[in-house]
Parts: sequence; structure tokens; C-alpha cells
Amino acid sequence: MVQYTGQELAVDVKRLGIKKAGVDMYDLLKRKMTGVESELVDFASELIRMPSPSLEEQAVARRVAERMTELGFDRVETDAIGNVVGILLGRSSESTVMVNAHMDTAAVEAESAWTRQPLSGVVENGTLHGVGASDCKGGLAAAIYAGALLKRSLLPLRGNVVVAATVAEEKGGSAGIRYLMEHTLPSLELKPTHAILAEPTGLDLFRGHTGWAQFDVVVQGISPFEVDDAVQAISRDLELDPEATPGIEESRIDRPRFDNVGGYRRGVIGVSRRLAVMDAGAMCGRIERTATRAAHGAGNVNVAVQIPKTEQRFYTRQTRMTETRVEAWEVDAYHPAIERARQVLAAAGREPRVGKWTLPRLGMATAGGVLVRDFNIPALGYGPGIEALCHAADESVPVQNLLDAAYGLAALCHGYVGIPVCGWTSDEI
Amino acid sequence: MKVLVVMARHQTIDVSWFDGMKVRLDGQSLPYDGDPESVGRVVHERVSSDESRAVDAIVTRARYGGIRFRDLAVWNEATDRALEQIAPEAPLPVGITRAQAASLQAAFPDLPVWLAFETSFFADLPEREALYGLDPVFMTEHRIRRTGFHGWYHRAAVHAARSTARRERSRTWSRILSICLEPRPELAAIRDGRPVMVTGGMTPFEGLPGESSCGDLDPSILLKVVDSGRLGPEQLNQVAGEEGGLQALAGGPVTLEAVIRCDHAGLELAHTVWMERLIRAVGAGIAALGGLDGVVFSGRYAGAGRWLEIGLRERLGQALEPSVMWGVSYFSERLDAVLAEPAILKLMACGPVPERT
Repeated sequence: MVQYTGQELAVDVKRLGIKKAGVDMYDLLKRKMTGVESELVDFASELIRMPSPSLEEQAVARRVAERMTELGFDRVETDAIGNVVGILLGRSSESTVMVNAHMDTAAVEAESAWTRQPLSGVVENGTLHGVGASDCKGGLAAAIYAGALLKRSLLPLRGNVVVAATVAEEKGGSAGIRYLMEHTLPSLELKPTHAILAEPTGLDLFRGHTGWAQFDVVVQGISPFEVDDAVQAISRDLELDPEATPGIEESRIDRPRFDNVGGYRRGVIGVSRRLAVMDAGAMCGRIERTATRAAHGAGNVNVAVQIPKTEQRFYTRQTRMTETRVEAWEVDAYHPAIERARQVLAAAGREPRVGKWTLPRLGMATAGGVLVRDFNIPALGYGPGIEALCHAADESVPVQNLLDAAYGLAALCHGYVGIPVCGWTSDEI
Repeated sequence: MKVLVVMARHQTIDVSWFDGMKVRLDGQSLPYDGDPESVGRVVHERVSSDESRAVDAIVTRARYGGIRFRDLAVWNEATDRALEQIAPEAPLPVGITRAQAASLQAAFPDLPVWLAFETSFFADLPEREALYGLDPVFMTEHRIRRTGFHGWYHRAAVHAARSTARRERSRTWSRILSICLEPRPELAAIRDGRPVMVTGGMTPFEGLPGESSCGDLDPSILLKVVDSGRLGPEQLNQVAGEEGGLQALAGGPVTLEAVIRCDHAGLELAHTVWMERLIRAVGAGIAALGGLDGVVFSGRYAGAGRWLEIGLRERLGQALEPSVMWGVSYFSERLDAVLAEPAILKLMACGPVPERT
């Protein structure tokens, strides 16, 4: 499912695998894992047992804030829409790495398809089961414990580490992360220089994914027949429009809705489209051209395409108007942030591949689009679990993956904002 | 008066008890998981409550204290804050020291925990020796300064050699080359008990090649390493610090002692290179001292100094005037005993244990 290119695998990271002769900072981090392993798994399980569909994350948010405080984060804040932010303060604020994971889970649509209760949070045969295990409560728990590992290691940090547990990710539109970036972090005088998305990557490094957006094709006219014909023609042509990719949902067209407004007949076709090369604006233009062309023979109708705005009401009772739109994003394979991540993980004894999320179903996304495109922050994905299990029955995450993720995330954060441990050898000095 | 010396290594913790006469009463090597936070617990499990009551202080070795710590320091909140401040100078060792000290204090709340900083002996290294050929503002900003990392061995070995010379009424040893033969060896030139030159650098990278550390390098070599493989600081540390030095030259893990003895052909390259670096350091040390009264070997491989003495006499015999007379001394005490002494002296001088804040 994951897309890798030969070029991306050019460097043999195995060659960089570190010898474990004495104590280095990675040994230290690993040793800090001992003793918190079961705590981390229990915490991830606890999060899974707490239902947290989008906009109903309050219980999880409260628990996350409590645990961050217990683990010694320097500051823990909950913002107006319910995002929880844990901060490890560095020596300066010139650099800040943010690890982001969302607290909400996709809706459980076919519970009968699950072989265990979706909210069981049970560990069986080394695997943690339940909704959100991969997406993204496992990553959330790992991110929080990565912060704890750094705190306990006493390794000095040049910059800040922010663990951001956000709301409303699965709702589309990235309202949680957008509010965090526009309001919460600036109010805390924090500006991330790097971001890590603890979404499922199977502990590889992911550097982008396609986007998706929801459009409303609005057809209006005096004659109901002409409007109905136009809607039918438009729906047919839009079905044929995108090139199909096997296994990838490129487009979804909802059943049209009709009403009468001010004496006009109105038909609305909901269209969801994958965004790759085109952004939502360009895709809007393309859909409009297709729709206008299709409606041309149907009579005297007016066709307009828009990205609808819907009101999202967060668990804190705050509301925001949000477009259901996630832009495609990508960080260059040779971007310094990716290079640095590879170096760090190789030194930590890991062998990550660099790739991208496939996101086979429309509606799946990460906060990367907002971070990279709107805020120009290099982001990469590194988290436990695999995307194939997300938004699906029997979602799970291997426990070892979870533990490795906490260690890897701690190493990555240190790589971005830690003071490099260089020159202190394993010779017993 | 009794002190408990605790030295945490990679997988073991060496604990030893010493009485007021610096007599080693007992010693044990305790296995542990390598986590500095567990040092206190592991030691406490071994030390019965009776034994701990009989102890007046705990001394633990601290690898780095910069110029902030010039003597033994009792661990307390102020010390911990000061250590936190200097942590960027030596991120790993300072973090380990803080964690070890805190865990020892938590395990033995009624005993003072003394930190014996290896760098304190070099805190007053002359500026001309401590600084590099870089912008002084940059050096101050980044706290770039040369130091040594085997201060306690140097101090004790030189003190012992001078005392012996005084007792034997031989000529005064005021200009001494102290060669510490540990896995990361170090040479210090010491005049009248104070260091005037040391092979160590800002970190243990610089200096004589060690069992796995490269020693002195042209910085451009590191840039070449970085450039050739898209490497970061961690990989540099690995190439130059973990897989370099005698291990690289010999083609596999090897002890400094084996390289000095060089009793098989596979070690010849390592031996030759290392000896050449040592001779250069000796020359630099003599120049810094303005002469030479004696050489003292210390460290766990101090005995291997006997092989080095032969080579040194031969090379220095060619370089120095025949009238220059210099002696050789061997200091074979263990590090735990070396650390116990200043703690006992401190306790004697202080009377009751210092208060913790």
C-alpha cells in the first residue's frame, strides 16, 4: 500500500546502524523505556476504551492532560476548542518540534464486522485491539510517552517539544490543528519549526499524501425538468471524470438533493474528490467545467460549484465554520528535515523507509496539509500501526510497535531540538 | 570516618568502603540495568542499613563539571540547578550524573552525596592552553574550552610521585608528565601540582587515540565523513567515537594494554600510530613544562607503562640533552581509592557533614 521510490531508498541506512558498545544517548532513552512499557500500553488501552468520536473528545482530552501533568511536562494547556498541548521547555524558543496526534476516532460503522468489541482496548497475542488503536490513540500515547522519556533522560533540549493532542481530525477540514496553529500556539509564544505526525506509518517515515475535498454542485433553474435532467447529466459525467486507480477511491458522488428556493428549482450534488496535483480551488474549477458542459444540453439552468462550509461544534461548545477540505501535501524526499530524521533513526538503530501514505478511502487525512501548505512547516509521519487498518473493522496495533514508536519519537524530537551528543564516546572516560 | 565510593559503569556499579585511613574495607561489583536512575536502588539493596549508618558520606564519580565545579560538591538542589546549566557542554555525562546523584540521595536520604568531578583538576587550566584558535566571543558563547577527563588519577598520581621523591630525598619533581592509561588515555603536563597542558579537548574526542575514539583529527576529515554519507552528529560520533581509535586501527575491539604490549603482528599498526601520538604529546608536554623531572603512569593499565618507558627513554634520549635526568613512577591505585581520599580529607576538614539545602 505504501509508495516507495528507488531513489528514496538510495542510502543504505543499515550501513549506519549503530554499534552498541557502551552507553550512548539511545541506550539511555531505551533504558528509560524499561519500567514505563506496561504503563504506556495500559494508557493506550485506556484511551481506546474511552469513546471519542469527533467533537466528543472531552473524556480523552481530560485524561491526556492529566497524564501529561503526571509525567512531568513543563506546561499542559487545553485550548478553547479542546486541543490539549503538553510542552517540554527548551533553552530557547528558536526551534520547536511539535508531535501531533488526534484524540478523535473514525465512527464505527459496521460493529458486526468486528470480532472484538470496538472499545475493548484488549491486548491479545502482543496486539492492542480497538477503534483508534492505529488511528491514532496508539500514536497519541506513544507521543506523550516520548515526551516523558526525554524528560526523564535529562538530556538538555535546545528548543521546545510540544505534544499536541488535537480534536476533530476525523471530521475533515482539520479544524483542530488549524485552530491550534492560528490561535493556541501563538498565544503560548510557540512556533513549530518541525512537525511529526504520530499517525500510522508502521514506523517508516512518511512525507506526504493526497488530499480530498467535498464540493457541492448547485444546479438552479425555473424548469424542474430541466434542473432534474441537468443534475442527472452532471452526475453521469462526474462519475466518468476522474481516472480510476485500482484500490484507491478517487471520487464519491452523493445522491442529489432537491429543493425550491425563491421560485427556483434547485438540485445539489455532493461530490468528494481526491486531490493530488490539483488543489481544491483548481479541482473546483474542473468540476464546474465538467458540470457546465454536461448541463449545456439540458436546458436553461445555472450551474455553480462551491466548497460548502459547515459549522462544527466542539465539545467545549465553541463553534467554527469549516470547509471539508484537506489539501495534498508533500515534503521533498531530500528535505533537511527528512535527512535529519533518517540520520537520527539510523543512529537509534532503526531502519526506516521513506514513503507516503496511500489513504485508499476518501475522508482519510492527516494534519500535514495544514502544517505544510498553510504554515510552511516541514512535517513527516512517524507512528505505530499501519494505515490499512485505519477506519476499518478490527483495528489494532502491535504492542511492540507502540513501544518502538515512543522511543523513535523521542529520538526524533531530540534530533530536531536536542543538543547533539557528539564527542562523548563509549570509552570509559 | 567512613566513605562509600560508588562508580557506575555501563553494566555494573562498583561500590567500595574506605575508612579514615583510606583503607579499602570491602568492595563489590553489582550488576544493574545501566539506567542511572536505578543506581541508588541497586546500591541500597546491597548496602545493609547497618553499613549505611556507619558511612559518613557517599562519593560518586562525575565525569564533567566544567569550570563551574572546581572541587568535590555535595549534591543538593543548587548543585543540580548548576549542573542543569552546564548540561549543554556535556549533555550525556551531566544528565547521567544528575540522575545518579538524585537516585543515590533518594536511596540514602540521611547521607551526603559528594560528586567528584573529573574535570575539576583542570578548571584552572591556563587560558593559553584552554582556548582554541577561534573567535573568543564564539568560544564564550558556546562555552568552548579544553579540559581533561582523568583529573583524579592525574592529581593522585602526581601527588604520590612527588611525595615519594621527597621521601627518598631525590631531586624535586616539579615538572611532571602524567600519563593516564585508561581506555581513553590522557597525558597532562603538571608543574608544581597544577596542570599546564592536557591532551583532552572540549570533549573526549580530542587527544590520544582511545580504544574506540579517534583522538586528534583535522576537522575537515569529519566534514568529509559527513559529506560522503549524508551523516549527522550521531553518525560522526559513531565513526569517530565508537568505531575509531585502536579498534579501527587494529581491525577489531582491543585494549590499550594489548596495543602497548603489541605481542602480535596484527596490532603493529595500532601500536605504531598510538606510540607516535604519545611521543608527540610528550614533546608538547615537555615544551609546556620547560623541562622534565619525571613521568608518572596511572590508570587501570598503569602496569603497561613499563613497556612505554623503554620506548620513551629511547626517543627522549635522542631528543633531550644527555644531562637531563628524569625519573619514572607508577601509580597503581584503583580509582575508588583515589576518589575516597579527597572525600575523607573533606570530611575531616568540614567536621560534621555539610548541610543539604
